[in-house]
Amino acid sequence: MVRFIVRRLLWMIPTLLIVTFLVFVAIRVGTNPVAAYLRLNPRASPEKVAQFKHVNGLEGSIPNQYFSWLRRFLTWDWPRSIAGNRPVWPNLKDALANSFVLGGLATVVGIGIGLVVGILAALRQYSKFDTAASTSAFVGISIPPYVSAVLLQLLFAVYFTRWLGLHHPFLPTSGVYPPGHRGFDIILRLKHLILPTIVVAIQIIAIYTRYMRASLLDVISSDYLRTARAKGISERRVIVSHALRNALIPIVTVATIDIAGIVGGLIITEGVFEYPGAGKFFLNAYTAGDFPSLMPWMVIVVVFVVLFNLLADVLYAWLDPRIRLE
Amino acid sequence: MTKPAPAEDGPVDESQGLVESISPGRLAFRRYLRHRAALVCTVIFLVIVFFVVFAPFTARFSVNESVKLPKVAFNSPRGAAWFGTDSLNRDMYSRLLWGGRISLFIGIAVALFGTLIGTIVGAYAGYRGGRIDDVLMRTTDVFLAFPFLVALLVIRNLLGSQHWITNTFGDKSSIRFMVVLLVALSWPFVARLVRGQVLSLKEKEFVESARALGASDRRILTRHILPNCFGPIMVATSNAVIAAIVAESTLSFFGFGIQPGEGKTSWGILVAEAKGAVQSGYWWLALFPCAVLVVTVLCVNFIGDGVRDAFDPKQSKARA
Amino acid sequence: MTEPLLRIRDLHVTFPTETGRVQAVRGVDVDVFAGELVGIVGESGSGKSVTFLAAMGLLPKTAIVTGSVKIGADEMLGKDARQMRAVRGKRIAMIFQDPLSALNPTHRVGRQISEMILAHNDIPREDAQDRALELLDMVGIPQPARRARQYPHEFSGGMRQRVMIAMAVANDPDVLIADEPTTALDVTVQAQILEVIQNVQGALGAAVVFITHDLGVIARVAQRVQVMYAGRTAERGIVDDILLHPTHPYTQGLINSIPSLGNQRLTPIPGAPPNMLRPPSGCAFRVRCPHAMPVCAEGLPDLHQFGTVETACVRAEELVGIGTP
Repeated sequence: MVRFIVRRLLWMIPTLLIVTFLVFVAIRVGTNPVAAYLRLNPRASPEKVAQFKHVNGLEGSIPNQYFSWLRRFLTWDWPRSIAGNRPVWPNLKDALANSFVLGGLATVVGIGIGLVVGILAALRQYSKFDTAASTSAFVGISIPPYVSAVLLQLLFAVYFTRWLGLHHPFLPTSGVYPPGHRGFDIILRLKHLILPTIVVAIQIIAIYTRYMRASLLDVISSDYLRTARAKGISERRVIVSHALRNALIPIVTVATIDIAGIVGGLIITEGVFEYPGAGKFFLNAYTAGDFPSLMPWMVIVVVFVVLFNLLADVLYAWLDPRIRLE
Repeated sequence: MTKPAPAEDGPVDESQGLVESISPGRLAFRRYLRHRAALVCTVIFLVIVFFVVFAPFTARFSVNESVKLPKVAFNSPRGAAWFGTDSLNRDMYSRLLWGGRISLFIGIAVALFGTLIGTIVGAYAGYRGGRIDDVLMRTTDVFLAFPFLVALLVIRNLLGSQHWITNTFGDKSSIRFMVVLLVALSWPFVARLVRGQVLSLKEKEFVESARALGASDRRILTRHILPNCFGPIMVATSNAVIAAIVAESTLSFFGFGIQPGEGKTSWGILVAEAKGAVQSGYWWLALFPCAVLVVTVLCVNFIGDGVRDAFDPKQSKARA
Repeated sequence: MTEPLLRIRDLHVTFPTETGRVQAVRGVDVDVFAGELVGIVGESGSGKSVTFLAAMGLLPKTAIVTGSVKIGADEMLGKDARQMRAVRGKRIAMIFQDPLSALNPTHRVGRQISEMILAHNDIPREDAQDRALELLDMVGIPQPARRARQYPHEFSGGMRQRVMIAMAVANDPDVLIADEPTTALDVTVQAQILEVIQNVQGALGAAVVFITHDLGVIARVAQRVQVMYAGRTAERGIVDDILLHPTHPYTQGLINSIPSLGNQRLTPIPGAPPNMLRPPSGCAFRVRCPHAMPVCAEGLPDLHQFGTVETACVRAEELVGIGTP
């Protein structure tokens, strides 16, 4: 097991190099950093432009550019953002933290509810609960995140407020705290988190409900479950120790595939709700063509996804003894 | 001897008690017809398509035309404007139809081209294996590592900066560019799926026997393997339609998609236009485009589900 | 005259499905005495497995089961879920066909056996584990202590089936159902497994039901045999009588279908398996039988005594002496 992990981590390095190189080329060619810089700093002197080009490694051939960027990135000598000439890392750090809070909360809530509903739906197949749960899950994956975001905003910010005769919106629809607020207030923080969390969680719940239900149904109709019943053990043992134990294995694969989807949902949700997370960070940087901000973001996302995949593979092998890791 | 057993249906005949034979395609079609939800959704979807395709006849106003009403903007739904009007007093119902033309066109075009290219590449890679297969798998792996939206935006920039592309297809805000962009990002997923199918079918005995009979690779692929992939490919196509519609509308919502104006609008643009007005309580601007979008996606989803069930029913097998 | 240990009377099993009601079992009687091995022979769809799954209460909840199944004096079909659970694995146990899919892939083998023991015996876990090792040894698995810690996929087919047997006999059941235990195995391994089953039966004195479609296996291990077709019994009796002098055309057809060294041509049974949604009226085999007459279509034929065997063919007496068609 340890050898497997070490080997995978070692493989990560060339993979990351190749992927970041491709991303670098794509973004470098796609955005035009110099033009973007000039757009945001129209009165920059030629020396400043040259310095900008130098600092961002925009001279020379593409591979040279990549390696000079890489060198600066790894030595923590990051160029400053185009917009406002601010260092990238502090903003990025805060944005990542905010996204972890939102994403983490939505994931915990989403997976928790999704698995439970999926299990219950499978155990009561064809019942009203099952039909309702399956249909809801189906509708859930059919609603694009921005649609649910807008509709929820409409409902909670506008209509609830009106119906309840409040001055302030019933549930806030933007930001982390009301404008001008200082300091840390858990209640306010949670209030601002409610709507975005719901939006992200809807997708998660829908996916996990469907997959858990399908996986458990599959296991329930398997031969070894019939054998378990033939032993005369209690039904609860059959379900928990035999059925669930095996049904949870494919769910791990779902989690792997889904992580990119969750990040995508975060981006959209943060965009609609003006939530200052990594998603909003990306949208801002992209719109401005802010190359120095985009590249670190990309690297972090790729590393995160690759590490997550590794974790899921290890978990999968641990759960399923048929998978030999060597 | 016991009492005569009641005959199940009518007089006895020789064919009674024998299992009838039926082709897998016909079998799947029949199973599809029994899938009530899929049938209902097929009808709904066709109705939507009909209305949208015949927009010149079904729409009440053209896309930029203002409705003559006492209030010059933001009229709620009424007889003159079934879904209300927007900031320029344009009829939302008609705009939905005109926008639908574009959204559905993009969705279907992307699905068709994406599936076509993906099937060809995937079948070839899966069958031949080797270098091409490796390259395909590696590139799709890279795609999968990123959220779809991120990949979409990055590639959008990349393609948009290449003059040979913008000269052929138009710039970043044109419909043709959008189709090219979405096709570029959807064919790898179809290719992966088809590759997987071909890989598993390649080892089956009917392929071995076809080869033993001297069939060429191309014949084996087209006559033997691909027809057996029909179900999953159909499902992939329906998924591609949904992905394309959602992707285009999401991009347009954030302003990265088709630019409104010049008589162009799409469902995503309509929702985007509603975003600001939501705070003021003009609910019809948001509700109707959202509803139409969700209903369409839902219907295509059900259709895809029905197709999947038709080709591969999830019933437990009968025991002897 | 002792009573049969397993006594099934007039068993009917129907499955409601989307396309209609499948009549899997249409009136079957089975008697098995303690210490004897009865073979049940039939094609897929004959109802042979469903009959005994019904006896164990392992059919889906939608299945409709009527009739009587008695183990000793104990009626099985009226029991509720809790009562059935007490019986399953203790008084009646089953060996399933494909041990790879019948064993839980994520549980170690030793645990799967001791789970069977602990389900019906209130003893400490260690004692159950020790007993599991004894059982593994009894069915001929070398190095039981090491093997018990392994997973099913680490065993060969024959070893896995031995594990299944060990599991089934863990609680000394009165009735043991072996559902095609050798079908998934190589011929050489088959012989070993048959030996294990016979040894186990000798040690337990249980009533054993051996379900198979392979007449050769029946000839080796069974004392009596029951031939099933389309959910009903075609004939039954002592093995030698049935196999050497079959009275039912279906049995004759089965015997003729076996390739033998002397014959140049194979003589299969013509026609196709019966559609259990709408089985033919009367004797279901008549649509494929070379000796069918109009009388065969009238009413479901019951078993009647004919010499030393019981047969369901109404023309059995007339057909004596008509061998290979």
